Amino acid sequence: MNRIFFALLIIIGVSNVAAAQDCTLALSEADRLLSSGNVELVPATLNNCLNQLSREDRVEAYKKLTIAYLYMDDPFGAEKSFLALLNEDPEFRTSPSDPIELVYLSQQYITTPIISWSARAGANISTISVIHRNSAEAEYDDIKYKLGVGYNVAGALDLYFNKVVSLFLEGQVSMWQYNKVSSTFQYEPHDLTSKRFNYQASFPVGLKFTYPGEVSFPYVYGGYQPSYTYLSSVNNTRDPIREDDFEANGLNLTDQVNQFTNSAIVGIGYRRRIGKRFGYSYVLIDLRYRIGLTNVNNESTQFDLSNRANRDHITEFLQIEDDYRWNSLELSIGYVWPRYKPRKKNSVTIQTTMNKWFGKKNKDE
Amino acid sequence: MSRRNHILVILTLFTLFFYSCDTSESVRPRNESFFIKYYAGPEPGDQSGADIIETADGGLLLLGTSKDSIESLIAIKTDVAGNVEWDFSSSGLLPGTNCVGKSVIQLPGTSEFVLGGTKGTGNDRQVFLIILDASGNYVHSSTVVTEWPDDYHELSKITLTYDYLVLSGETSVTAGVGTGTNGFLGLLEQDLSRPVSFTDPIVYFGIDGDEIVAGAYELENITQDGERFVVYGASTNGSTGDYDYFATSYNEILSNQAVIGIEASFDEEPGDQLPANMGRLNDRMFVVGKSLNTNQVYLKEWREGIYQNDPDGTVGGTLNIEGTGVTFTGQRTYISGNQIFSTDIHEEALIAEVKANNVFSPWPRHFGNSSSVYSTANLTVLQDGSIVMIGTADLQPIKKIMVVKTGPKGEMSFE
Repeated sequence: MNRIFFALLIIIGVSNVAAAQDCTLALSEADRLLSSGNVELVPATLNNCLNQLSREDRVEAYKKLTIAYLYMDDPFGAEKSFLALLNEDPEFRTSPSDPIELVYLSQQYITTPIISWSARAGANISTISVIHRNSAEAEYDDIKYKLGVGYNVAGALDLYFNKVVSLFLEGQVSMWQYNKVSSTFQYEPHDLTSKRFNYQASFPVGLKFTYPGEVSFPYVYGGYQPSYTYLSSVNNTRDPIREDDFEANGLNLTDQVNQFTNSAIVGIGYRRRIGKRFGYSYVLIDLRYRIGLTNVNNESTQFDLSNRANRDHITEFLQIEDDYRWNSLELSIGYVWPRYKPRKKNSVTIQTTMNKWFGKKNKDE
Repeated sequence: MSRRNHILVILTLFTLFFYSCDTSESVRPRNESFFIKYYAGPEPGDQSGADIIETADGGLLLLGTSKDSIESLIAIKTDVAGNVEWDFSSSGLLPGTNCVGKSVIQLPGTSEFVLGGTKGTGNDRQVFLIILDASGNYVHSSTVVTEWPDDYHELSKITLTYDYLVLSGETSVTAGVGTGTNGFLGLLEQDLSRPVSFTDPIVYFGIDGDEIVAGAYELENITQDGERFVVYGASTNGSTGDYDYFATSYNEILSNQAVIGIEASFDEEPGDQLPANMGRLNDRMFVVGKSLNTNQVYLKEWREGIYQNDPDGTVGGTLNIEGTGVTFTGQRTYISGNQIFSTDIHEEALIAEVKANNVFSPWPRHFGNSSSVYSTANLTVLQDGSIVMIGTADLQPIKKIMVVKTGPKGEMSFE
């Protein structure tokens, strides 16, 4: 009994290996048939092998099937095969050696992602644009803002109009920081430092222009970033020359800032495909400059001295805040998950919808 | 999307950005309307504020004292935003001699500043006036010659009247009046280009016990009895021997006796009542001060030379702040203009408006922090209704002059 069982196993294994070898040869055979003009034999040669091929070979098989159907003047079969190809390789691009019929067919399909999700994280440094200088001490104006390092974490959704233009929507949590240093009282200086932290949730939106490369996708973008500050705190020191430091950490000044602020953003980035050819995931590196548009300080509450933290900030640490806008330079790295939906260009897309709004005919890609 | 539409979208976004950007034109500068500032002064040492006035050009003049090896009278001129334009110290004028800044006025004709202080120590203390021009250049100075030059004269306040400078203060003169510390009230012509002396009328006054003089007040309308000036302060007269408020009035030639007797203005209360200020609240006159007995601020109506203890249930007795009894730890309490009030509370400075029923306005402003001591010295109401208060911030280890400017109702915002 055992002998019979093992014999069956050997027979099945040998037959599978033979079939795989046959299917590997099927691609070569399909090539030969296409070259010799026997295109009607190509589907029969390839169809039984499709499930046994690697993904790369399967893409090649669907391509040959599409060409065969085109040569057979079977548009339905060609479209079906090409859609199957795009399902395997959503970003399929024809090569210069491909038949012109295949090139024309491919141009009727959308081969870019409809959307892509991305996540990124990084560090930022802050710069300050002073609107009006305010100082606790009237004689001096030696206030300097020094760079502080913060962090940002973001998730983004890119909606593609075409291969070049996309609309991005982001959700971002960030901490920005700067250090303000000054000295006061010329004859007996007090060194003042104020390390400011803003914790914000932001929702950037904008347009991104991507160079449609093969593997590398550099891009530039610009947009608008509304933000909500959910915590603004400060660590202060006052260091008199003759006495120990006075120090207070974590003074909560959230009520003293405009919690809703606006920024403009501009940025450049580089997205690169990683992994196997058909994995279609990307890594990115992104450099963004956020231009603060809103005065950080709230005119109504800046001198609200009923707030104990604010009163200490002003009257013990001599910190009268400037009117200023808060900018930042953010460097992030991230990961992109594109989502595809291969389809003909007359499908309803963001592009077609926008074109309808603007009264334009569909000229996708 | 066509290139034209791309450009349209981008232009729209940039237009939105432009209009939502806060610029120096759209953000109102705060300093002209309200600020808190500290002043290092013209020389090393601790500084304390004493008096502040609005100058003819709309700026401020701060008067105080700098204390290092000696005390020097200092003055700081600022613009409307509190930025220093020039400063002055008496240390070069009186090397090695103490001079404490007390009170300042600006003469209406010449715009010259008269800085008043007390020069010297112990029984050598005399009233000293320094005249600066409107740009802070030294013009003239003089020790005020008094009738009793061997006794000290310590200036409390210079009051500018239509035709006189009224100097009030304390002295130890004993002839003809009560023993111990007494008060003086003297008139000076406004022409100070000559050596200054009380060749004009001067009066010394005192009752049994010592007097502390806080200042003099000029009545807006001379009364039927010819009263023009009211001097106010505290006296140890009375059965308890502690300081209690008194006020007395004089006619325009400072006749030797008060038109209304001092005793009539004396208000016996338990415990010390420290020097106060006098002001007008609507059509009624009030004195304010601090009772050491209750550690609370006093606000009393003074009508026809008599203190009115809660005459109609609206004013009188001790004040409550924010409805609760509190401890006032400072030494000074002032009323200025009609109804603005400053004092020290819990080692913090406070300004507020006094309203009916002895309560503060809903906007009392506290200035201070967890570890420093802030005290008020004086305040004034500017022509535009803004309030400026001068005081001293003990910033450990140094003390500096502090100036706070608020809106007419204590506003420190544009709302």
